[in-house]
Amino acid sequence: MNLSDARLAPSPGADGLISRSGGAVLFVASRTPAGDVARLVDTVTAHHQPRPGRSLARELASLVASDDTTLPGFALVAASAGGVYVRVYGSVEVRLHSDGSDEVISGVSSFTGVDRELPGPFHTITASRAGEVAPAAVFDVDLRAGTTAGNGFALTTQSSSADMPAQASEIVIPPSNTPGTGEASVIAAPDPGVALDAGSSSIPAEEAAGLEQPAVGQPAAETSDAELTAVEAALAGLQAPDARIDQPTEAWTPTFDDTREAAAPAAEAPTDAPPPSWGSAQPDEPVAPPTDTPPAPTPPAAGPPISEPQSPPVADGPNWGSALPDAPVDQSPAESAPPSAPPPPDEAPATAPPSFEPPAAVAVPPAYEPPVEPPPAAPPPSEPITDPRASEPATLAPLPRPETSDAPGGGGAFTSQLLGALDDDDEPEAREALPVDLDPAEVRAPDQLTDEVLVQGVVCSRGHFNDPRSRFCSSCGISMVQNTQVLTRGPRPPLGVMVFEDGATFSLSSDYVVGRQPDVSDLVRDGLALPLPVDDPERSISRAHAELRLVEWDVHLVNLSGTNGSFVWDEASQQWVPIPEGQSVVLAPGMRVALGRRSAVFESSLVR
Amino acid sequence: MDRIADYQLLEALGGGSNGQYYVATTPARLGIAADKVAVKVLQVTAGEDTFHRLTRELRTFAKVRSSHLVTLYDAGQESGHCYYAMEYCPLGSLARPAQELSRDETIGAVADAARAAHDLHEAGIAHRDIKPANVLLTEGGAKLSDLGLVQVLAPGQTITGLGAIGSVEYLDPAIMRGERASRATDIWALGVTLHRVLTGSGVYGELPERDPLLAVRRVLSSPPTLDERLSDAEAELIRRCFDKDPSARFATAADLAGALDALRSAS
Repeated sequence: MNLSDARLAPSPGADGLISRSGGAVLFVASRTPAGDVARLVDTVTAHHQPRPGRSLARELASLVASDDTTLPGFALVAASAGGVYVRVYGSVEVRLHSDGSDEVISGVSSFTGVDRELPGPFHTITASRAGEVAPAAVFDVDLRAGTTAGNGFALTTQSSSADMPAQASEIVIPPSNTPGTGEASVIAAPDPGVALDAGSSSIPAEEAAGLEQPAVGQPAAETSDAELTAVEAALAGLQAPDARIDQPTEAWTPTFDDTREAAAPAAEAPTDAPPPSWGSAQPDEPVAPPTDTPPAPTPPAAGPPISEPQSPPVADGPNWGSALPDAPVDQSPAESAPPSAPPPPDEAPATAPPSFEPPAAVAVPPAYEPPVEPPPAAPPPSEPITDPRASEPATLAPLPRPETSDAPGGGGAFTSQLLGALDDDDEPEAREALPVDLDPAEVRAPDQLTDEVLVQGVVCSRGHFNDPRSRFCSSCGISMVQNTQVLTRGPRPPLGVMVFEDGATFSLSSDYVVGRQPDVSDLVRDGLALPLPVDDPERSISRAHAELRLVEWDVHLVNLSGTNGSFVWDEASQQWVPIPEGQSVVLAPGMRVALGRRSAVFESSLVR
Repeated sequence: MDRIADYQLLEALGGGSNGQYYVATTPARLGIAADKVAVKVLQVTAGEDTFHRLTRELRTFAKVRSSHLVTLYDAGQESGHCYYAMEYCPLGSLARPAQELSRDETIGAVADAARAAHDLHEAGIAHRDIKPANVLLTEGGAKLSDLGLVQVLAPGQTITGLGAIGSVEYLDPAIMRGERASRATDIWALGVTLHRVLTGSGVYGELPERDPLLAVRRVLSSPPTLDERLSDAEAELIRRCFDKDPSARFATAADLAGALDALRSAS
């Protein structure tokens, strides 16, 4: 798209700045701190070429990466070789309107912002602070160049098919791994996570996947053999004797192969379109934010931080779970997801073995269905999902179901239970009063449906059980120096929390499988791990994407996803480092991880 | 959304943890006099097990006899969407009172919430989600509402994402770390609630709403601080809700309610 001809109307207000130079328009949501604002504006105005998107992508990425949280929110819209490049950071939204559809790209809920290259064309592109009304297109104002005050902007272009970049038609979508049909109807009931995200929920997964491909594929074309060799060397370096071998993880890693054979390849194939050139992508952008197109699935070409033994704990490079196979580099998507496998319906019950327990996301069959007015979300008769209770009475219903009272007169089928009138048979068992004085050992007993795991630890002088490596009690902060010699066995306290970028926080008192539909994992089905459901509108998360496995006092992140991958942020090199599929990393407190486009931080008070 | 089960939803009351509140017309089957009830529709779609855990938790709550707990009427699900109905309190909550409250009324409302918490504790239940928005105002005093259900809906999760960040401020960081909810964690939340309603500010300053990660990190890493505008007696009382030394804290929520009553009559 040629943005140089577009008409730019700043929206009234003086809170932020609008800056235009060549083929780029920048909106900065705030005018303070002045130094950061000036850096942003200078970065953009230094470019005068008609299509600065690609260069600006790199420069802004490093600017964002060096941000110490003072950088104001901003939005960049720039012409690029593949169409329009958009980068949003902070509490800012960009809306792109074309004849067929509208897109919203929001920087809310991401660490390092979101960037996308879209083929366009778009007739109007607006930028504003998140939550504010999008600026209206104005036809009697046109800022041609320079910087002015404003609270957003509307950019209107001539939209004609001639304006469309040639590249847009050249996008190659891998034929077999592209999601075909059914993605939109995967979840029968509305998914609250999707519904609440105003960001880009309107983008079908396949479209999003298709749009991403220029960004992934392009750098690959520029990758020289020498660079690839460097990557291989870096990977080989991980096998050096001083690299920490994660033996507990290694011991069980093979079980994932079974899992994958059983469920993952077929399950992931239809929904997670892998990048077209998985093995060779090597972007020249050193910093790839978590919300980005997944960072190139190869470790940094030069000086991988992973083998730095002297690094401080937080900056300590990830430790791979076991010796690296060469699979991550050479693996083609087809290997992990056979193209010949027919994409099964995403609803597991349709194909699951008889002992399958219905996943939580599947709507429970209503207690009664009025023949006249079936609820809209109820499965249609042709749906192969059967009522599991009807077909498998012996193997299901692990818990007694609550009494139901059907109330006629409602609009649809529902189950209900009056809470006001309880008869004695109906009463849950009486509980004991909460203790007034909690035993210190009890305080940290996980308050969840998890089995107690006994580990070796030390007890602080106030009675809290701790990691033997601790110098201070993680509960009360008292020095542990006197106690470190006496090992006792006790129930393991939670090892920390995973905080996702939307604030969802999970206490690590149990193993978890993280994913879009973690119930499909054998570990979850067998009760060995809790499901930690996360999703994003673009479905960059696999059904079972990663595992958080607690081994003694450590949290291991195991990447289960061969498609969009799992990454850890390496402070030393300021890069996202991919975890090879099936391998694991020991998380250090404060470590950031990215799963597909979602990201999270591991927080722990268990500081050693 | 204008209907769930046989409830006609009249007006959205706003979001709470895990779901949305609505005012709804009372279905005749409830057999109650009030013509309106409050209905909370949960964001999660729940399977059978989750629904079972949910109703079990709600029934345990409903069984607690306390004049300071909202009355629950009905729990159910339609197409996997869980809801529950409770008494509607048109006077609003401590977070958004329908009319301005005096300092004494404010302290009295928190005292009522503390009494409700105590009644729950004696019945073996920790509330887990005490905050101004869950202290509802009625003619006959305040009532505590909306049991924290996140651990029921998503085992292991300690904070729901998506808009629940307002609750982080009130949560004892120990819960966030996965420790057991207890009398102490609810007393902590009551202290932060009192601080918020007396001063209009939180004990961590203003948490960045747009950056939940930073908000969670701040709560986990920084001790609560008290606003200088509080009187010495107020500050002392709030401090005793989260003193670093557990033995200096209120042992029970009833003790806290007593101290609040004294604080009210003292001034």
